[in-house]
Amino acid sequence: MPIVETNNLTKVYGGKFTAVDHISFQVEEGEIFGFLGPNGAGKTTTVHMLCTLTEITEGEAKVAGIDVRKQPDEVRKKIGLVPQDISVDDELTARENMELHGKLYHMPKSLINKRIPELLEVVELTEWENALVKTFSGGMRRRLEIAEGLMHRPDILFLDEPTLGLDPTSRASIWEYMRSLNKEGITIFMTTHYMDEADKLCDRIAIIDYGKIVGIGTPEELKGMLGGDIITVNANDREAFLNHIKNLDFVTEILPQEDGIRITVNRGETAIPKLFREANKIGVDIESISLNRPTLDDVFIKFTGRSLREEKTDRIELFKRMMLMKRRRK
Amino acid sequence: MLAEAWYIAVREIKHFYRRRIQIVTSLATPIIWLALFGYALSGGLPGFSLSNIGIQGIPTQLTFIILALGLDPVIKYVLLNLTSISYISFLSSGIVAMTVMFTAMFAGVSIVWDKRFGYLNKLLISPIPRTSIMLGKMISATIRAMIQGIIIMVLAVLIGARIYTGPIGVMIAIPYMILFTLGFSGMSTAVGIKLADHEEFFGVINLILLPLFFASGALVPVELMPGWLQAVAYVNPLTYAVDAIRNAMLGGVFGPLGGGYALIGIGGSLLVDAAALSMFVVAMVSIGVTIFRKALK
Repeated sequence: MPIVETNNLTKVYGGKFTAVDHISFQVEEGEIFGFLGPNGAGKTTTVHMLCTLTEITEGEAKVAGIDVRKQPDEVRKKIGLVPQDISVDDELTARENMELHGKLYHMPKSLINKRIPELLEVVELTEWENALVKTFSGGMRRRLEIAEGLMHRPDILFLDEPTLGLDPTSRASIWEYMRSLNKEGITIFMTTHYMDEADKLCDRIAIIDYGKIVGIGTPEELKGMLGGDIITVNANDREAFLNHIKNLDFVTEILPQEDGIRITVNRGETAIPKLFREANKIGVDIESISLNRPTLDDVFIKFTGRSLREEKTDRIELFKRMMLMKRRRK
Repeated sequence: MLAEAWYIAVREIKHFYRRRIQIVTSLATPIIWLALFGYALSGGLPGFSLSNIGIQGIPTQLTFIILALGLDPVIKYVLLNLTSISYISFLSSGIVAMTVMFTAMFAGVSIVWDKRFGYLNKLLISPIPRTSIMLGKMISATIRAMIQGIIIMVLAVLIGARIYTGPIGVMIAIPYMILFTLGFSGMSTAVGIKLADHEEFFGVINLILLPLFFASGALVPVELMPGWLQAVAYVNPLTYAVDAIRNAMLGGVFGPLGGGYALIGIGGSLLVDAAALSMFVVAMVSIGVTIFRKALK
């Protein structure tokens, strides 16, 4: 039986903006399911609808076999949420945060006292049990948030961008916790815009863009859809090169991108020399060439025509420009 | 529902006593008001004397009669001092009510903060009744308001106000303070849940607080106000809270309703206040719960 089941789930804000557009999918019990998409794709809205926080505009959703619209209180007992914006209480200690959580879920005191040290050990915060959360780093807060979300042993744990803004070490340790939780039988539903995270961690992935699921499957299945390896080429005469390779029979797909022309081929190793030969024929020089096994980013480009990375570089550019302007003002 | 509300209230109270600066400022502000305002106007209002030797329970009307008599100014002054109270004693009950009102407002502030930092979602995703969140904020605001109100009474005595009735008066004032805080915090949580951020919240709340404060008997006896303002004061819940606290602390009808209610005495006046404040609580809490439930649907 699927633990999450949606049918044409839709969220329209203010009668105008469709954040989630008739999506239907299932999450099987015991899997790590990932929602991959850029910012604003509708990932958080979907999670919030499943977690009873946002009203469903249209369609149905069942979590743990319970209708989210009809019995929200029953759903709440079965789920845990680690939100994107960390919301553990700064003015309380780690223990007090978890204690309050346990009380709100009507756990007996003995069970609360037993579980707090257990969970704090899992997330390696044992020493900070009685420290105020405002003294914690970002990674520690997120770990505490995860521990808190597990206090009442939910059937399914929703994690919204669980490693957003964390350093590589913290990310790795959070991945580790997620895997070990999953081994204990907790279904994990996570959202992310990091491809490597989705690729490494998830059993199955749904790619979401503009509120719609554009592809769903295991990472291997999704990458398999690309039908081969990817060669990224930069040539001095881009147009001429593009026009020429269009007609070659070993090329299955061509996607011109900013960082080069992405060419999908059956066998990358043999295609590279062929490409050089073809370039010579028309007098074009190849400036750089690289061969990659397909990544989820390639899958994303295939489905949406855009790269997940583009947005990120834009932001860094924007930030750099802002810093430059600030300096000039001084 | 009460149990969950209590857990939420405990969290709020922990917040309060861990923010030392907040404790100091929330006590310092009303005391500075009382000291500066109390002494600035100590001789400027008819019916008030400079000292606290006035005889307990003499109605304000007597003061006015003495003022109207064509006596020698010196005799008038002595008589006035014997028959009236100092402005600072009068004002202290108004300032206590003000402190209670401002503290009640924090119930709404904390909802706004919880919303801003995502903590509200955490409460909403847990299997607790929605109204227990509101009730928790109201309970914590009430406890805080009681503690602060009583501390202000003590501090007021230290800077020269007199509580004629002593500890008994303080005890009588407490249930009225509780009623008023419950009503006002119910309203402020409803405002808080509707608004997006704390700037909006303070804008709206100030729009409510300041007129309520000035159009009540907190600063000036209601019978000294012009007629139209008296009419406003009589529908202002703060007027009744001030009147009850004042009657309890002064043990006499020096209060803002002194004129109208002088005939029914202190006990009657307290009954009227209790009825008015109960109506206020019922109205505010039921409106508040409706708004709260609707907002969190």
